[in-house]
Amino acid sequence: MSFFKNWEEFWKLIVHLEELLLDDEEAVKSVKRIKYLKVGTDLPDLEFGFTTTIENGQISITKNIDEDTHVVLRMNSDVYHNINIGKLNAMKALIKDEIVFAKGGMKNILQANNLPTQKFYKIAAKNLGY
Amino acid sequence: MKLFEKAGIQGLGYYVPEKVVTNEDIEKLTGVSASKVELILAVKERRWVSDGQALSDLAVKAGEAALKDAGVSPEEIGLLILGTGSNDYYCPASGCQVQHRLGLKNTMVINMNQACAAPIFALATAARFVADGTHKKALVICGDVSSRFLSFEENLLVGALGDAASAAVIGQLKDRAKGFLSESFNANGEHYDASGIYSMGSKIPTEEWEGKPYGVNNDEKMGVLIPMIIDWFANSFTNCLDRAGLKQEEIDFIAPHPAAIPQIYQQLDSIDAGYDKNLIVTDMIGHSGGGSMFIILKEARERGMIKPGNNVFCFGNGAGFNWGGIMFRWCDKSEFVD
Repeated sequence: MSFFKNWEEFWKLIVHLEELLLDDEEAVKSVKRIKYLKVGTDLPDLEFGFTTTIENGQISITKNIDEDTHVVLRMNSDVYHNINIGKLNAMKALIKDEIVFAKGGMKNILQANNLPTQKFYKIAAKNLGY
Repeated sequence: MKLFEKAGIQGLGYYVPEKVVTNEDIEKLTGVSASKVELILAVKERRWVSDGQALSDLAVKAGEAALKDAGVSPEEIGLLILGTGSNDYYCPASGCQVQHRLGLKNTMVINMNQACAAPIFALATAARFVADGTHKKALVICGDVSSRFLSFEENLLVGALGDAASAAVIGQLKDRAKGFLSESFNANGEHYDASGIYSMGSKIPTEEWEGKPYGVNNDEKMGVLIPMIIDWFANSFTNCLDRAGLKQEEIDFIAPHPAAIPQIYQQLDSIDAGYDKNLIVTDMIGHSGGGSMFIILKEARERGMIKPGNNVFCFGNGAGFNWGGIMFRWCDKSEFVD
């Protein structure tokens, strides 16, 4: 059973995350030197995915997983949620194969796992009562 | 002419422990499969100290190698800088012990704790003492024994880090020869709690000292900081170019912060630099904190990637956070004052 009722509920949280991130000067500045990185997050339990794009230092998040993503991370929404709120250690999730690197090479995977989104997911989740 | 131009790097040396730790070993320690360790970290193997080996042991061997490479005797060294975050003991720092074991006499010793950024700060400091004539030669040794401060349950830092020490002899240059050309330093202490070892210190009640005696990352903060490292690198590079009056095409070798390999590529991408201007050693020895930089320079020189007259840029950042870049001309041994 999914942590979220449906993908629409989850997407509201991601939209709020993006608003918070884009409103934070330091977070916006942090990615300004990244020329191009597209990270897909696939959440099979919600039958939903989204793409985080950084292009010429501008970050945006869109519904669905674009075909030209550099990396696709696959996990259920409860794993995604728990890692992002700091409840689940990412290494423990890796050990249990709860995170799958569905696409991507070593050049991008580390960066895909170190984006400023986590900080704002936690705030967004709290704001929306999760 | 800037004062520190009168100093340059005369010799290099390093030491890595003999114990090889493979990704299969990391799998046994952490439970993360060897293939995932390699995919995420791009490290094939790393070197860790054996029981009984400490930072001072590595530092002495690295120092000896650099002195030999420079053709300089211990008696000629007036200044020793030891840069490390993993001294043998919490107190005293290991610099004096290393000075004694290397047979350095009448030597000023500076212990520096700049985390992974130590080589850049240590070079800039040594260059001043040498260029102004206070000391004719200086020995800079940087290194870390991170394997003593790991948690096999906390995060994959375990697989990224290796132990090593490396060293550089800084010498005074003859006539109008130029060595160090420019530098750029900065810091942002707001994120002091993003990455480090927080288990002991005057902030921590004594009864809690055994709490977490290993490196920890605050993932939320690192998610913001890791992309920022690329910006710090690119700004430092641009500042150093401007201050040296050089153009990017005149830089022959670029050594970004050598921690994670993907990060190395992204730093180079940020300034549109070709990967052929860099040498990666992290994949075979792990990231040894402050110990990596002079290994890269020595190996690059051995492979003909750095030759006398070449311009070199090195960058490092360290927990705290502080960061710095330094640009220098590679000097021929005949250019140094005896």
